[in-house]
Amino acid sequence: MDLELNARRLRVDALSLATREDLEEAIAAFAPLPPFSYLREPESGIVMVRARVGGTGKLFNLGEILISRCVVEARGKLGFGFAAEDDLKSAELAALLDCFGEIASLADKLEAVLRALKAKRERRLEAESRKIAKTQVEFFTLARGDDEPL
Amino acid sequence: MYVAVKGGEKAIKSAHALLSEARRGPLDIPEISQGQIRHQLGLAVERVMAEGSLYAPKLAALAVKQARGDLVEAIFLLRATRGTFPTWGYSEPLDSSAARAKRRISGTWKDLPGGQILGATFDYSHRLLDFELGDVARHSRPLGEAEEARGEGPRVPGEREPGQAREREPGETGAQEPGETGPSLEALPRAARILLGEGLLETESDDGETPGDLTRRTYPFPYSRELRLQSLARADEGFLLSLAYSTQRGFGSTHPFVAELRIGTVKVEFWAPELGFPVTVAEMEITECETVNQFRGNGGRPRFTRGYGLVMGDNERKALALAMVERALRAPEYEEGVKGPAQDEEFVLSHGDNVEAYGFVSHVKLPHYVDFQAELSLLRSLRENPGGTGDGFGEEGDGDGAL
Amino acid sequence: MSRSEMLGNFRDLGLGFKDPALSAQAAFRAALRAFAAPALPVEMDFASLFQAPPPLPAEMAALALVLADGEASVYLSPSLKDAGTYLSFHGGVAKVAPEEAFFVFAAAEAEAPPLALLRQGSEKAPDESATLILGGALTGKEGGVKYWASGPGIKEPRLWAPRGLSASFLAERGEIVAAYPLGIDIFLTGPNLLMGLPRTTLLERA
Repeated sequence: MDLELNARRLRVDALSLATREDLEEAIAAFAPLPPFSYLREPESGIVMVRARVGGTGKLFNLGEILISRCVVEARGKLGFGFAAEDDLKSAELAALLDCFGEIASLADKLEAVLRALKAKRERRLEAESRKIAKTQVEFFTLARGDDEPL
Repeated sequence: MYVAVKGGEKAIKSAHALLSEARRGPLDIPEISQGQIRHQLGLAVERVMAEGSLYAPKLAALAVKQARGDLVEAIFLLRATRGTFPTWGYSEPLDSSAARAKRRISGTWKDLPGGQILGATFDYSHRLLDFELGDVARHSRPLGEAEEARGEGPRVPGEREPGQAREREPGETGAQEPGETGPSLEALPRAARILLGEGLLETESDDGETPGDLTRRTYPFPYSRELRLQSLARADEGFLLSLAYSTQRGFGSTHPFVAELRIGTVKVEFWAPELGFPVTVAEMEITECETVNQFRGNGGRPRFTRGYGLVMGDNERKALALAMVERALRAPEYEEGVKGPAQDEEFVLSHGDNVEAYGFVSHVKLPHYVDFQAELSLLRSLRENPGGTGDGFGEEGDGDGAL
Repeated sequence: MSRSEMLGNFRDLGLGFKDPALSAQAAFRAALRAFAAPALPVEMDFASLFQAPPPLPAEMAALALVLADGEASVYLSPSLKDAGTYLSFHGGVAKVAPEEAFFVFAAAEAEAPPLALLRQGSEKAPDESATLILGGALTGKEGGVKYWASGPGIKEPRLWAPRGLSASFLAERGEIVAAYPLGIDIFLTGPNLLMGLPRTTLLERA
């Protein structure tokens, strides 16, 4: 996959995982919005989630997940958006922001917005992780044997 | 035979009105919100998603509310709602090793790489009611003490007064303190790798086959292991728990060790045709349990066998039971003989789905007037003509929905 | 897969049905009528169902969007190939080889794969057979041969003069549907026209 496609993928990923509030805040930076139309109106549907036996083995179908998606067009560029659950608004906002990344005059601003989104998420995950790490069991009587035979 | 029955509309309408009244309860108690159910009765929601086989936390919370906390009814509601959405295809395989863990323990190694992480667990907690969580102090307090100690526990800064409920979005946890310090979690390699390295454990590898999907068609027994895992992932937790217990009590023992149990969040990737590459579309929580079970010879090179349990959401008890039952169902594969119910594939997989079970058991309460009248007149005629060969009920005449 | 195909562009993806529910219902209803009354053309303004002209004939696009999906897969004959992205975007349609397809779209008889190659179903599941959607068959040159069509959905034998279809094609079809309940169902299409030739319809030279 070339660099440009990879960047697009990372962008769509980041927008999918952003919260509704974060997306609403992000889109506000682009007001007034350029005119846009839907290639695919925001809609929700189901994807069957696959996993692997033992984490590494054969594929199996675990169960389904509800997601939303949307495709918009603005200034001749397409934007693809996804969101968890039945959340049409988030899917639409994600699609618009993805589209702005393709529009030359808006791309820089979008980069900055994305960086802020990612930083916010990282901070949140980091705080969660620290809290969870505090519940790590410490065996004071034994060496933590990462490289010793178990 | 179908016999039309008319009437009852008024009674049914009134029953529904009464149901919504009962659901709401006394009006002087604040109505519970979807967000409160999602976050404060979270494990009920997780169970509904796993057995409803649809990961949709907000809808599952609504189902719990609508079902008045009857989880099997909520699971039924979620399954029914599932049918109203279009299906878009299959995700990329989850990478459970990359899950952002919130709990990870092992019953086989106390210091496995990455460590044991207890997370928010009921383990080691006193299984005694914590009256501090209750609404009302159990007894009046001496005067003067009452002001500070009116039993609501510590108030998180910014939290509303009780009764002023506010929806919280996923990820926003009430008790989050932004200034949390200390190290964050390390990467957590799969525990099974320790044994795999020495060749002491069966390996799992991908044969590139497209797995069957029980939601799209029916399959004859025996099932493949993949189909069994799909079926068990949506099976009733109580049913699996009892079956797992039965194996421990000797009805098809599997001698399990929990190599690893983890609960964490994974990304769900979906190959979008319009993009031509997979993208992350959402995250979901999963509970994964890997057991290491009694070893089997393999040309003089015995190896541990494995059981695997994977469930959507935070469902530790179910994942554990699932891995044990999954291993028990592999009895024919290891020529262990089918000695207990948990090893009987047709028995386990045909009866584990609580939506199916609920439906068929419940239909007995629906009108069977004609069936019953037939039995009744048969019985009467047998009594009038003694010496007949009657031995009780006639042929099972239960055509579906017969009146 | 080329770059443009991968990221899609406006032209490739195009716009789908005007109203996802009502347009689909109208198209499905037309298909139902065509099969309920075989050998009788159904006229309908298929183009009006779409927000913008689809990249394949409107009647074919309509049938593809209402009948096919990720599992009920399609094959597109060479001159229809470019519509693949459009159909997968708007209908989640999966494209496969002709022998695997449940819906085989061919722009004209000359492009259609041999009927014997297509799914015929099995005794246990005769429904797992292919449906052929064949374009240019209602407006082309009249072949000169006339047929009496009879069977379910036809009260009195109906005289039919095929256009744009060879006698050998219909003979081939005759052999295939003789294996009833196995066989192939056919939609013949022309601009805003649809005609059904289900496997139950018998054709005899007039």
